[in-house]
Amino acid sequence: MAETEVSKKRKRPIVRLAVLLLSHSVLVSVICCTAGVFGLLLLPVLAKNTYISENALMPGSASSMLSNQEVSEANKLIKELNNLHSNPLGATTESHGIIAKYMSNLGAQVNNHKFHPQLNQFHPLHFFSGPDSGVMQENSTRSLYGINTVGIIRAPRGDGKEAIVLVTPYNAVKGGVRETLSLGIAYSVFSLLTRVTWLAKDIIWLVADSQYGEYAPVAAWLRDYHTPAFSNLDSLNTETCHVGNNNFESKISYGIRRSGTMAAALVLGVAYGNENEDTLGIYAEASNGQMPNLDLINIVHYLAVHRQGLRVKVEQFHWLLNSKWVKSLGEVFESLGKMVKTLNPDWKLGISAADYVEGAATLASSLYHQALGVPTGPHGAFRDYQVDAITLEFSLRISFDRLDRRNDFLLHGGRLIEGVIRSVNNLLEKFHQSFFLYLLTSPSKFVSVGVYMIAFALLVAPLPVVAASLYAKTLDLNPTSEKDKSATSNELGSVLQSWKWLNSVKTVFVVHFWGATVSLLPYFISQIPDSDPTTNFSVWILLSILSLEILRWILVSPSSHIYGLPQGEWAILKSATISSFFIGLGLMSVINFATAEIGALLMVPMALMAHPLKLDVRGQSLRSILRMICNLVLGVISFPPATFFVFKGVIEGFSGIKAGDFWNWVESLWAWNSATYLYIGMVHLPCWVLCVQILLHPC
Amino acid sequence: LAPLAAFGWVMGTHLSLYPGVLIIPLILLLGNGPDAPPRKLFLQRRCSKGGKNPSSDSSCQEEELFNQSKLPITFSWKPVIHFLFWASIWSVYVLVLCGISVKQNGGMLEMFKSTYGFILTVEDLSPNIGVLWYFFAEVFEFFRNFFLIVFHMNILVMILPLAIRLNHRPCFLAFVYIAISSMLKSYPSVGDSALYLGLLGWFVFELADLQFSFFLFWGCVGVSLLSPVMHNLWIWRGTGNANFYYATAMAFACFQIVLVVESVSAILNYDRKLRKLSVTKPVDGKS
Repeated sequence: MAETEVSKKRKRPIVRLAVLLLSHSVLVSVICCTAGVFGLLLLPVLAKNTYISENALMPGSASSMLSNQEVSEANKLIKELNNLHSNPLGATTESHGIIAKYMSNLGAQVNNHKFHPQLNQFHPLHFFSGPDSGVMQENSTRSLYGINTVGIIRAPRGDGKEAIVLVTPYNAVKGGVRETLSLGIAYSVFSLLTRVTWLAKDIIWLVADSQYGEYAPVAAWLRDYHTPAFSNLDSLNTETCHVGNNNFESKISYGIRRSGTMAAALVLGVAYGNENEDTLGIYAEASNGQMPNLDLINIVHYLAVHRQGLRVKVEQFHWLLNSKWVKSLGEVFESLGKMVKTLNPDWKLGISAADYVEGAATLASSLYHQALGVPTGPHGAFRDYQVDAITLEFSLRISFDRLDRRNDFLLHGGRLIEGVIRSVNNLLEKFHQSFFLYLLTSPSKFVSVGVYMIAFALLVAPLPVVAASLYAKTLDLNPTSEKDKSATSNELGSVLQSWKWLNSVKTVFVVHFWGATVSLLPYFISQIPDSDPTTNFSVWILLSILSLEILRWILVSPSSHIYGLPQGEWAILKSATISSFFIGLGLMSVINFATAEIGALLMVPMALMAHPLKLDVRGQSLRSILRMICNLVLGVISFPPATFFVFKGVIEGFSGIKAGDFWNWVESLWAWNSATYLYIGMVHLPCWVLCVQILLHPC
Repeated sequence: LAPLAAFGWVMGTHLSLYPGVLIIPLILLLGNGPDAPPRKLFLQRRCSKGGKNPSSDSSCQEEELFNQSKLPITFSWKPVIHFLFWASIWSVYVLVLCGISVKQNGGMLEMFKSTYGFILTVEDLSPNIGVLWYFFAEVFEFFRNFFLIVFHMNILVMILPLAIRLNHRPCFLAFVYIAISSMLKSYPSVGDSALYLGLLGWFVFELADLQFSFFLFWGCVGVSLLSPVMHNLWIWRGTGNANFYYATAMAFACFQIVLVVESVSAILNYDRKLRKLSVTKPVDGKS
């Protein structure tokens, strides 16, 4: 008795708070989850306007020097490239020869870079190693190769330690006016930069050979740029190439010239658009949800809108723009904002409904593309080397055949690029002032990590609370049962009671191991020749179910039921599941925050609400029936293929869905070494299987 | 038994310096006999059963179980001296062999400097799962020796009190020594933690009431998964820095400390429970 009094005096307020939280875990989890979802919906309201953080940049403070002289030179290049009438085999070398000639006429150093495009390979564990552990395969892809042409302007007053990179993907085989226009813009800027006096960093212009895709040549060039190879391959790389019709013999020497660390990179592209005005599209996402420094986007946006009169757009989900519930949510927030303003005019939380809808559509697209972990353009290759890069896509109203429109476009586009380069030229250090972790709700509005982390933390906070409360409840059940057991087996029984949770942990580990197996299966399935995606998908599902049954038969022993309490066993299993899911979510939020956010939205309600269906059927109260229905609905929706098909059906209509679409989507994930693939296979799927096991638990 | 134990101890100390502290539990184990029950409890059972042990010559009363004036000393020095003799033979043998093999590389002094000296002076500061590299990366040269002494005394200071408190359970004492030295040594690795976690299974009955075992387990799993991710973020991606990785190392050290403290308190509670049972049982038996 004296001991209990002493222990009561020793209970500190933090222990009492913890006990209070654990006893009201249901209320806490409901409040936190709704607050988390509400916080996510509130994000477009909380977005701030972008601003230039680095004072050295000063975009637009100097008047542009690009004039019609450079535009006319660019027109000459475009005309010469368009007039090439050679067969596809020689088109690449001829066009690259022309570009090299123009570059060297300006006085820049030119070199050709040869690369072998690597076909899609399955190495999802690439995340844990560096970016350049992909070794060139000498034997298989020797026949396929591409040539990048690189021109370097050395800054007359610089020390050659830094560089700014301009990339223009050019598909010589396809040809066309659109392809050559991006070359025209880049050439006009390049020719101006050979003559300016303010250049402090070297300028590298990479004309990437994009016949095997736009990403591969850029990635290959970056890899060779950053890994110096000391061998005499240079002598082996000079080749003579004969092009049939023109007897154009030239000795093409392959090698690589380097400049210094890259301060920033811009990838240019031109697209046919059917917009009402000239637009500039910005694509910023790199692999695994990494984003370039926000300042780079801010410079481009400022110069495009305030100097060149272009409209800037970032990707949006168009199906959200038309959806009714988003519009009604926008109206609710508008009225709330007005109410808050009447209370206190200083708080500027108001937002109009149209702005909210636009912001929500852009935010959803930004979140989704970051979550996929697949780069949205060739600029993604730069992020692996910690270089900030974005892709700019110009699109005009009318076709480009009219010369005056074309000149106008070249002038404005060239002035924009020149302004960006002039700003980046002022930098003394790498981009470091502005944000690296953000979500865009419009080209000029963003939500930073300090704001969106709160919504995620609220959504995830109930998980450890519920796990601890479930574990505490099973501990409380133990002493009552000890009195029932006989005295002889008391010691053994009590020992095994307190280590009982090891059985559930073993189940959790077995299911996670199965998840890892399922993640590795597509490697073997993709080796099957000539199979279409639907067959692959069905084979994958069959093999997964088979392996789950085999693992269950081997590893999970039936003896665990002897000492377990039938009442408490599912509670321990749920506690272990929630703990492992919490750890998985925490890890994923460090790697790729957007994946963790979407994964938490999909899975946390199901994990928290899982309750054996048999108990609910026996319960027969309104609460238990509601819970049973929720569990069934959530259980179906959280299965990854089911989620994919449901969303695809909602967005694009249910008529055109094929089973193979899911396989194609997953294939794109693992081909790009996205950590999202590992998350789906090793955190989301095992948690779903364990929750289904809890639902179907025999009590 | 003694030669084998001596060989193991000498080899352990030679390979890495820290198993040297295990000499104390070894001496206790050899002195008491490897199968001896915990001494205090044995005393009480003997007293309560009324003089079963023929070597006792004092009459003890059942009411005064805690006031023993004459403790029969069951600690024999003969195996201990045997062990020390064999330990010296093995260590001389090992040192002679080392001396022969390192003769062309600078001799014994150089060997001591590069092996034991390296462990003691913490020259290389590559990141590892321990807590020392970050400190010594920040410390000024003037204070380096002071901090070296502090960190090594951190382990040495804990040896004596633990030996006094846990001398009736030398196996558990060895476990605690291994745990503390694997946490606070200069270059720890996950293998050291694996060693003492494996030994945890030895005491599964005594540690049945380990509090926070669930929380500790999931904490250790979480930290061991988070550590490579933070390392990747720091070195390969460049969006983190050394603090991220060091935070996981500190969290790992925290969990190990909680594990050691809770296991010691669990063992002591177990001993108290046994003592209570052994007091109440003969009372029940009598009445």
